[in-house]
Amino acid sequence: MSEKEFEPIIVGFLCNWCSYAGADLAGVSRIQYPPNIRVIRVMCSGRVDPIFILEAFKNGADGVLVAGCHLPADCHYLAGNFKALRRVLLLKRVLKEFGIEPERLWIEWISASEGDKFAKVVSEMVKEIKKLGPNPLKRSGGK
Amino acid sequence: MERLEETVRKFPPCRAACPAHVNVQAYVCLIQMGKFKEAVEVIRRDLPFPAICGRVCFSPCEDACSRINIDQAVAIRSLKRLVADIEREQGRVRAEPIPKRYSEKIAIIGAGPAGLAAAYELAKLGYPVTVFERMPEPGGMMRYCIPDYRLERFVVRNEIEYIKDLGVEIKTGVEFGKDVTIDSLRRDGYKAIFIAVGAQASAKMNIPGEDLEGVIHAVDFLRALSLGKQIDVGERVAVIGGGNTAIDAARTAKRLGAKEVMILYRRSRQEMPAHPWEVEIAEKDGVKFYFLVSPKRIIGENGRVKAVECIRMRLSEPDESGRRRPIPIPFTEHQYEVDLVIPAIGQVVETWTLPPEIVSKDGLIEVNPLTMETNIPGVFAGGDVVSGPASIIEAVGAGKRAALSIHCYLRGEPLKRENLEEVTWVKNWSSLSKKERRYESPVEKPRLSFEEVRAYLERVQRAARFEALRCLGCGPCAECLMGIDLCVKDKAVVDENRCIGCGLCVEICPYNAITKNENGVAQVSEELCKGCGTCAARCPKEAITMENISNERILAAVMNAIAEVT
Repeated sequence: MSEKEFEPIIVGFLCNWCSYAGADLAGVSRIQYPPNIRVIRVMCSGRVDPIFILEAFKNGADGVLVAGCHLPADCHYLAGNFKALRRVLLLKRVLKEFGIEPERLWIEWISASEGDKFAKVVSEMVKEIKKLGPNPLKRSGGK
Repeated sequence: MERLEETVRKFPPCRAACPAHVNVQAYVCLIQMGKFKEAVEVIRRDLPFPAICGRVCFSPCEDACSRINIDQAVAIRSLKRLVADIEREQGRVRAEPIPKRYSEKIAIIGAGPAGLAAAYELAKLGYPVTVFERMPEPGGMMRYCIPDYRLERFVVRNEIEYIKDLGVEIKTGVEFGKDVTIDSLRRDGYKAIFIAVGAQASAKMNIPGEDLEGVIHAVDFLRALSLGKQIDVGERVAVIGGGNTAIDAARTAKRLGAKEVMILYRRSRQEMPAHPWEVEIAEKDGVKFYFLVSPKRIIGENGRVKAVECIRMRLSEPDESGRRRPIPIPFTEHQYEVDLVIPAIGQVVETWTLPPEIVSKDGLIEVNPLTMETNIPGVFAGGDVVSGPASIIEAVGAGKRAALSIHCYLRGEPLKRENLEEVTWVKNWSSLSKKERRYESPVEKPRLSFEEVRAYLERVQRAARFEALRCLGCGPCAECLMGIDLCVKDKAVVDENRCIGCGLCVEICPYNAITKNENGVAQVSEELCKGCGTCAARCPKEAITMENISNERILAAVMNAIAEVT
């Protein structure tokens, strides 16, 4: 496998109203972006339980993207994006304790009209995570 | 972070700003998904004229659009026009007649936007409705006074046919006050009467020379043209006034071949009542604007107009109402040589056709502002005849409210205030700065050959979806009620055996949908829950999950995502 270039797996939690529509727009507009992301639609970025993110890392995801509506006031559920931001910032500290680089967890704000931003975020994320290498938990066999 | 203002679900700004409360967010959302047919259906719930309003509405929804704070308002009007036009491409839309549930006959006087909207609403409720119209064709100002380069005649005709399909009877050539009166209608068995005759007569300037040949008031000018009369506009035309009607008259005169068309207005550009984008278009058409001039008299020669004598004005300091009054500057009289003078200084109600007891001293009909009933029981009024000259969409709003009031009156139910109460929007957007900008229409239809239309339509539909995606969706759910899979409503469910009563979910719910019951266990109100799932993510004991997108489903999706490649 070593001769093949490392292709990271990224799990993306996208909120239904802004980011998922943004990703849809990227597709509709045929903007090219790396195929490394796996999109999971949630109703709100505030729906993303830290457990989901930890599960993803535990099972070998190389990066996790949480994307929601723009701060401060675009959230369709008033302030779910703030809640997501708080959780993600806290979780980044916890991840360090588990030996996972906090840089693997991203939170971004992508509106429904920002298909290009979605593509840009994914490409950048893939680039950064390629630098970091595979998930350390995967290297140690998930222990 | 400060806690955002606690709000219950209300209308988003666009819908709240619309006088007819058309569910804007819902149809924009449906356009995002490419569901154009459903979008028109959503519009028709509140508004019988999607194609007409898509062309000539002054779109207060766009002024309210919160997207203005980011870049520009969503082009709501153009989107509406597009979906209505796409629907028409497939031939005229026919509606099923609505079965009559009630026996009370209702008479509506005037087949303008207010009367037709009321007829539409009442027919949908199941009443037999008859509309009486003086002119040979229904449509009122939409048919006769909006020039057809702005609003094509067949568009008006189609939308009215749709209302007729529902079972509304329209009798043309019947004049109120002459052929029918309130008493004669009562005798014929009509239980309620709605007067929506509009403001048809033009206001007089009261200056010498107004009755010369070659002076024709704007509404009369536009109406005569719509009736197919020939009017010789000559070489030079002066339009007096600064409203939208003045602009329409000026542009029409230009199209009829006048070499020079000027608009004379007594205040400056900022004070013009015409919409700024209309003024811009008129300037593009080559209409000249002269500000701060007021006509003093019209000079004739052999009984025909020769020139207008004007006097220069200056604006006073703003008075206590904030308005700057024009004050004539003495000895600045000057003349413009013209062949035709079109005064467009406003319309008034033809009060002489109305029963004198309902006419107020302002020359309008006086109604109870809540019920829209006049002081004759069972006689209602609305539209321009009550408000003075306004817009189509305001007339539709008035017609809708009158229909509801007539329904309550006939059923003997009290009219609930909350049905009519002013609505506000979801969030307090007033705290954000507001830039005065509108989005230029992304869809305008060129003349195309038959083969080109298909490709063109595909391109336009794509453009429309892009435009619709700019909508921020200020209301959490637009309630398009179309039952689209994507929008299956999610709901929080509490596992009572797991709940430890910590109350974190109560704290975090943005809609206060969660309360603790007497045992200290969390309870979700089905009505208030919008299914965001924030509580499910917050719960430390995993006692809350979502009905549709459950924790297990998300975890399974995570596993799938990773398993796909490894």
